[in-house]
Amino acid sequence: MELRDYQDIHQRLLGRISSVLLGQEEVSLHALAALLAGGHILIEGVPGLGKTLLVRVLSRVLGAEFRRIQFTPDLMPSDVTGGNVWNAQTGSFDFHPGPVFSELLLADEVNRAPAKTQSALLEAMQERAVTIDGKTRPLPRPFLVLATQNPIESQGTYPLPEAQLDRFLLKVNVSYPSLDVEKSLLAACAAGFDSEHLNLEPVIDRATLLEMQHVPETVEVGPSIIDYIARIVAATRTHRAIEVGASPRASIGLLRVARAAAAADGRSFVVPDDVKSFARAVLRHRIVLFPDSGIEGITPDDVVTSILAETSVPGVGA
Amino acid sequence: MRLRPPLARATLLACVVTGLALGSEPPQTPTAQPTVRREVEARLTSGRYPFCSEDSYRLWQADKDRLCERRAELDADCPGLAAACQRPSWDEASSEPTSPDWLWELAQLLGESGGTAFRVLYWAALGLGVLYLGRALVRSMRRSKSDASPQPVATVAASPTEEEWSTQPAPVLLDRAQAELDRDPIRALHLAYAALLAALGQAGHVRVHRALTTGDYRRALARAQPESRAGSLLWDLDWARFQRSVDGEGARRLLLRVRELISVITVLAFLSGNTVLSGCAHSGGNEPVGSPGGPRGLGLFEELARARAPSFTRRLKRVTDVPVATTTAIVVEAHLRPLEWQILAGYVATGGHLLVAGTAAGFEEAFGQKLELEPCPAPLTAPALELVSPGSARAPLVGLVPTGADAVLGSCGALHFARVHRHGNGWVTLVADASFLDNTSLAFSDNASFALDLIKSPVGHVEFIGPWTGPGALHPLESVTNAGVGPWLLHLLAALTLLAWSRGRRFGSPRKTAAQPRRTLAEHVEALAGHYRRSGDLGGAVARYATWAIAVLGRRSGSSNRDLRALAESLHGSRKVSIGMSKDEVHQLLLRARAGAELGGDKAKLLRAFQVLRTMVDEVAGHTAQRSNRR
Repeated sequence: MELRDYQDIHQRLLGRISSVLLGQEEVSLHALAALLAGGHILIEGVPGLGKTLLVRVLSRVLGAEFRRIQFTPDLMPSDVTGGNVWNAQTGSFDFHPGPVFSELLLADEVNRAPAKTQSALLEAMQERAVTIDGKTRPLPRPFLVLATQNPIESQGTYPLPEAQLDRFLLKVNVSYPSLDVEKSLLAACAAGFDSEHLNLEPVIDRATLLEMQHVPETVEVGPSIIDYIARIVAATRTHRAIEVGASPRASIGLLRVARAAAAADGRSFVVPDDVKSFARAVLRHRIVLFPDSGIEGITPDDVVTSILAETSVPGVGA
Repeated sequence: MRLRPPLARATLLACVVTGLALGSEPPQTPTAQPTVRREVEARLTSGRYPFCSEDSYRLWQADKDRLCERRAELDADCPGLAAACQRPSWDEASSEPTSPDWLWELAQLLGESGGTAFRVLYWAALGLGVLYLGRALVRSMRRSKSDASPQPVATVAASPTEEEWSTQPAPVLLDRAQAELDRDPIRALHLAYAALLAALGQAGHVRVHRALTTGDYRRALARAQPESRAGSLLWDLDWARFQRSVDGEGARRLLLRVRELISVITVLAFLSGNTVLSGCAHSGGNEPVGSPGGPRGLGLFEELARARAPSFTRRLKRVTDVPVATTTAIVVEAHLRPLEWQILAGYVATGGHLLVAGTAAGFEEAFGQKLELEPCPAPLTAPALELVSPGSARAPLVGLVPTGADAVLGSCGALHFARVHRHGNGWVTLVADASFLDNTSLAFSDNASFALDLIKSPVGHVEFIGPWTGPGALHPLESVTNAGVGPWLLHLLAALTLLAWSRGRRFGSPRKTAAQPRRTLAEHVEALAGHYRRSGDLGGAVARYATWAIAVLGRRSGSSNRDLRALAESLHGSRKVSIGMSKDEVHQLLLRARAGAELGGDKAKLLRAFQVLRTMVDEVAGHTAQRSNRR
C-alpha cells in the first residue's frame, strides 16, 4: 500500500468517526493511530462521554469482528478467555472460546474486575495468544483491545497493575465536550440520532486493516528523532516527581505511534511534532508519581508536559 | 613650579642614572636601514594591519583625502590600501545629486502642490505606523497577560520562558546556511529554520524556545497572525530537513523563500518598532579611528620600537615620574598637564631624551621654546633618505617654523619637519606632524628607518606617552567626566529615583523574612479542609484526621497503630491521658473515628470522636514537648 492510499483511507476513517463522535477529534485521532500502529488503547473518562460509542464506531468503520466484556467484580478469567467444557455426548472436553477470541475487544470498565481476571488479558495483549489447560491458542489477527475505565470511582475497583498498564500503547483521556459541540450533539439527537442503532458502513475490510498496519513500518526515522524519543523517555526516569519512570517498551511504543502519525500525514519520515503530539498519551499511564506529588495535585500529564517543555527538539540548534 | 619631594627625588635619580649611562650625545642623523624595511613589510602582511591586506577594507573619507592622491606609491608599498582608495567609504562625499533625475523632474512638475501632497502622505504613513504600533503593543500586552496566567505545571517545573538557544541574528544564520548549502544541505536547512525562527522571535511573533516544535510555532503564529506565511514555510522546512535525502535545488529554493520572508519580517518589525536592527557588524567596514592597527594607528611604530628597546612601556597612568633607566620618552599627541610637562622637562634637563610629535599644549611653557606650525609647502626631505609624505595636497603635513635649533633632521621646503634642541644636559627631538609615525606612513619607503632613528641609540627603557595616557582628575566629578559615564550615571539615578518612587515609603526597608516551611502542604491542607466544608463531608474529614492522629498516638505511646485494641489499652493505661473512658470505649471510638467516611451521617458521634482524639493528641504531644524542653 502506498503512503498516499494510507493517508486517504486514514482521512476517510477519521471523517466517518468524527461524523458520529462529535467534538472528540483528538481522541479519535489517537485511537485510530494506536489501532493502525497495532497497539491496544486504554480510554479513561467519566461516564457518558462516549467511550463505548467510540469503540463501537471504530469496530464498524474498521469492519472488524467486535465483542464486548463488561468487567464486574465476579468476572472470572475463564469468562474472558473461554474454557474446556465436558461434553457428555462425546465424552470429551470441548473448547468454548471466550470473547477474547475476536478482532476488536471492548473491555468495558476494566478496573472493576479483580487482578486475577485482569491478568487473563496480559498474555492475550502481549503474545496475542491464550493458554488454556496447557494449550496455547492463537488469537485472530488483527487483535486489538480497547479498554475503558472510570477515573472518579474508587469503591469496589481494582486499579490496573503497572505490568498491565504497560501493555496499552496509549491511554486516551476523554473530556467533556465544549458548549457548542454539546449543542450540536443535542440537535443531532433531536433530529433522530440513535447511538444504539448506528448505520455505519465499513470503510475498510479486515485485509486492508492488516495491510495498513504494516505501512508505518516503512516510515523512516532519523537518528535525531530516535535521540529525541530516547531523551524524553529517559527524562521520566530522573524527574523529581516520578517514582517509577517509563520502560523501554514506552520508547518503542512512542516510536511506533510516531511512525503511524507520519504515515497518516502522508510522510515517509518522522518529524519531532509526531513524537511530541503523542508523548502524553504514550507516557501518562506508564509513570508512577511519588505520593507527595499526588497530594500536591500534580498529574502525570503535568509531569510529561514539563518534560516535553525541557527537552530540546532536534534540528533547531544546528 | 616646585616639584613635590618624591617626584623630584625620582626624577633626579632617573636623570643621574641615565646621564651616567648615556652621557649627553645628541641623536644621530637618520640613515637608511634595509632590515627595517623588511621588518615593516613582514608586519604589514601579518594580518594585524588589515588596511594593507584585507580585500574588503574601507577607508574613512579623511584617510582617503590624505592618502589616495599618492596611488602610485601606495600600489608599490601597500597594495591593499590602493584598492581601498577605489572603494567607497561610508561617509564619502558624492558629487552626484542626492535624488535621481526623474525625482527632480517630478518635483518640478508638481511644484507647490506636490510638496503638500507629500506632506499629507508622510503624515498619513506616520499615523498608520503609530496605529500599527499601538495595535502591536495591545496584542503584546494581551499575550503577556495570558502567558502570566497560572499553569498547572508550574508546580512541577519552571516553564520555558527564556530563550536558551539561537541568540544569533537571522542574517548571520542565513549566511551560514548559504555557506553550508553545497557541503551539507540538511545542516543548511536546519540553519535556515533557526534563522527564520530568530527573525520571528526578534519581531515578537513567536517566543523561541529549544523545546518547541514546528507545530507549536504554527499554532502560535495562527493565533497571532492568521495570514502569516511563516507557518507554512516552517512546515516546508520541516519536510525538507528531516528527510533522509535532500534535493539541492529544492533546498536552494527554500533558502530563497526564507531570505525573502526574513527581509519582509525585519522591515515590518523595524517599522513597527518591534526590533533592533543587527547583523551589519560582520561586513567589511572602517576601523575605529583610534584603532592601533588602522591606517591612523601607531601600532606599527610601537611594535618596531618595542623590538629594539630592552624595555618598553605604554604609559597608561598620568605622568608623575619617569622610570629609572629611561633613555627616551616619546610623547605623541598626548594631553598632558603643566605639571607633567614640568616632570618631563626635569627629566630632560638631567640628561634624558624626549621625542615630541605633533601638537603639544604646555610644551612651550615647560621648555621655554616656541612651537609654530605651518602647512608644509614641499615634500619631505632628509639627508641620505628617501621619504614619502603621508600628507597630500588636500591634507598636507605641517612643519615647524625655523628657529635656532641644534640639528635639523628633516625638512619640508623652508620649514623644519624634525629637529633637535638641547635642554639642560639632555635633548628634545621635535617632529612637527604625528601622522608621520602612523601605520600608513611607516609603510612608505624609508619612513620607518627615519622614525626609528629618532629614538636615541643605543636605547634603554622607552616610555611611550600618548592620547591613552590618563590625564587624571583633581576631584571625583572630573573623573566621572573624563570617563564619559556622566550620562549613564544620570540615567541610573533617574531610574533609581523612579524605582524608589514606585515602591513608596517602604522602599529600602528590609522585607519580612519569616520562613514559610512546607507552604505547599499547608495550602493543600487548607484546600482539603475547604473541600470537606463545602461538601459537608464530616465523616471523610474525621477519618483522615483519625488516620493521622492514630499514627501520632501510636508513635508517641510506643504501640502499633495497626492494632487499635492494643493502642486503646496503652492510651487507657497512660498517665498522660485523662479522658475518663473505659478501654472498650476508647477502642470503639478509635474504630469509629477511622471508619468515619463509612459511618456517614451520625454527626454527633463523629464530632465527639474528633474532640476526644484531639484531646488525646494534645495531651500526648504536650507531655512530649515538656519532656523535650526539660532535656
